[in-house]
Amino acid sequence: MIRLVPRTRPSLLLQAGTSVLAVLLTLLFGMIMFALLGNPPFEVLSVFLTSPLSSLFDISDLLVKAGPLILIALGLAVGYRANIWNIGAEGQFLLGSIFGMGAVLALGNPATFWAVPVILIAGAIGGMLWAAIPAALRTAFNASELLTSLMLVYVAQQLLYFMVNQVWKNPLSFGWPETIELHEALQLPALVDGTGIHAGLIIVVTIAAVLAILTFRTTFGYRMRMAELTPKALRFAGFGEKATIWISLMLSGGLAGLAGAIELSATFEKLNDQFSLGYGFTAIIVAFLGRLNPIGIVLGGLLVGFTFVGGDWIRVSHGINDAAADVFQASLLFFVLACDLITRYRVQWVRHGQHKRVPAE
Amino acid sequence: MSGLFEFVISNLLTVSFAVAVIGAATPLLLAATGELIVERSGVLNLGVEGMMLAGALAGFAASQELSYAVGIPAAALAGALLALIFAFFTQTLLTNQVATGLALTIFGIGITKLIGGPYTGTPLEPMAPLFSEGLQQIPVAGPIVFGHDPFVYLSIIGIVGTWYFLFRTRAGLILRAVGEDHNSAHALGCHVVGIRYAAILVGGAFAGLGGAYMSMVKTPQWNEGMTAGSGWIALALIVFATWRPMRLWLGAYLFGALLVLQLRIQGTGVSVGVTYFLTMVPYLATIVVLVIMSWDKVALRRHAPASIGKIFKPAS
Repeated sequence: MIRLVPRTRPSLLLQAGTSVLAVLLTLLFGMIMFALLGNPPFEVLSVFLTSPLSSLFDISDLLVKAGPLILIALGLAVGYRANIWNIGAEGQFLLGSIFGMGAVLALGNPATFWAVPVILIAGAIGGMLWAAIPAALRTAFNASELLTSLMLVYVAQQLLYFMVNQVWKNPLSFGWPETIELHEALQLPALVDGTGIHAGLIIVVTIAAVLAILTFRTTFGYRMRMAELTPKALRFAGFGEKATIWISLMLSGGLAGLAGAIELSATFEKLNDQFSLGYGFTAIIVAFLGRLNPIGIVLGGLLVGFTFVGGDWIRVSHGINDAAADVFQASLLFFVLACDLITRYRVQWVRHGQHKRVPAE
Repeated sequence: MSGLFEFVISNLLTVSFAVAVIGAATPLLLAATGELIVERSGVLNLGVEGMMLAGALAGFAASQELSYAVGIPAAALAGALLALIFAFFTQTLLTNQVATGLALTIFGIGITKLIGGPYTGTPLEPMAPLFSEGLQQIPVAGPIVFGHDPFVYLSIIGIVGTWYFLFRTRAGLILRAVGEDHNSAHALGCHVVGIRYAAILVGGAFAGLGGAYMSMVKTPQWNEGMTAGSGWIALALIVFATWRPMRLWLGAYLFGALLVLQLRIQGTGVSVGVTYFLTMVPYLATIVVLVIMSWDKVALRRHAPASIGKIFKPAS
């Protein structure tokens, strides 16, 4: 017979320990999965674990993939703490890229670096506008932001297809659904020569730091964390319900839109119908991996970036479908949620009939 | 505009339209029926989309390798298997239901993509209708009543059976009691966790069947991510129906009508640009439906199972 006794305050050490346990369990699960797919598990695992850090190019790839994930997850976590479920960040990300491209074209694709901030701000506005729809429907009509934000992902995808196939299609693209390329001056510069590590990552780190200070070093952050501990934390302490919904969705939508514009400027350099790798959905995993706190999210984003690069490598070395990375990420989330049981409760083994002798909590 | 109106009217009143609507609504109805049982027991499983994909792949693969007779139960089993993961996490390990459901959907999308690669684009013979040629040739009633594959009849038996179970049997009453107030139900001696396990597994089986309809009958082929949000639309349909089976049935068919109409307008040779916006219609309609149904907060709260999404941990 197992008895669960709630812990009053989970220690930081315990939280870190259970995260490591979750990673180990995920690796074990991954090995079983590789074996079932007919691959030598230890060999695949060693490629998966070593190659993402084996060269500067791979490390750069890891950071480039982690960047947008961290940025989006930072915003999502603020809402999740207050039980505001924006799961449509993918749509807000796409709108950010569309608005960013709109800004590029409206400015005439200028050869000046100073247009970059305009593009990034346009992206953030695009994401915020898209997130404003579920926010307005929730505050005015009580419609579940979880379902409406998700439905808008599919709408955003069609909008993207429409833009790249019809409105902004590059006549010189040989029929490919894509826009013209951004002028070289509009592409966020590389920080390390010969790699993809770009200036957009500075923005990501800065925003993570600001949110970390806000969460751990201010009264607002303290109240926010306290609100999370109560079961009916629909509002941040001190804010009304409506304000909390709007703050959560504007922040998460804005950061997702910003991530879309950064990807446009730094990585893709044009808009096409393959624009997203599903960052908006993967970021949900990152938010939970990071235990909804900014520092944890940075680590979680790096970990998930790692699985993307590792997934690329085992595809090359053993021909394993890149969906292996998706499965890895989902099972990582499963194990993190499961291991949370240990941080939230003390698990005690009790023999039958011994219940009554234990003093009440 | 009057052209569009005439088009709508001339399409609505045909037998082929009615048959197409039933076909389009069936995957939604199956998945939503399962989730209705789950939610009535007080659990919110957001993994419907993932379970549908698992059913779609399992049903397709088993039908292609063996036979349809194996494909249908295989689909239900695959859905239930994914649901078992969800049940173990949320009921035994007491994890957050929203996060676990999202994880299940992402897991389902990934694992089916990983395993389903070899089946992509391979053919499958269309499934034959259940009843004989003769019955189908009866005017009007023939195609509408007798012209379908087994899934359609399963979905109808499923929703009517769910209504009967929930509102006419003692077991259904207990399930609803657990969904309304798990602490009281527990105090009365109901096995809350066991009942929820059962509901989640049945829900998964229905979702698997819904997905399999798409891969075995509707297309019929396997493509990664082929459910395209149907699982989420099924979740919204439950809000539309305010957790009542017969309204769910109606809602699914109304939604099916919208889907068919949208496809037929696309088929009339509208300009390519318009098709992108027509494809948005089902998703936008879902949002509109949610807004209308959620408007009356009090009514919504009166019908929604009171314990939904809450973690049950018996005092020990």
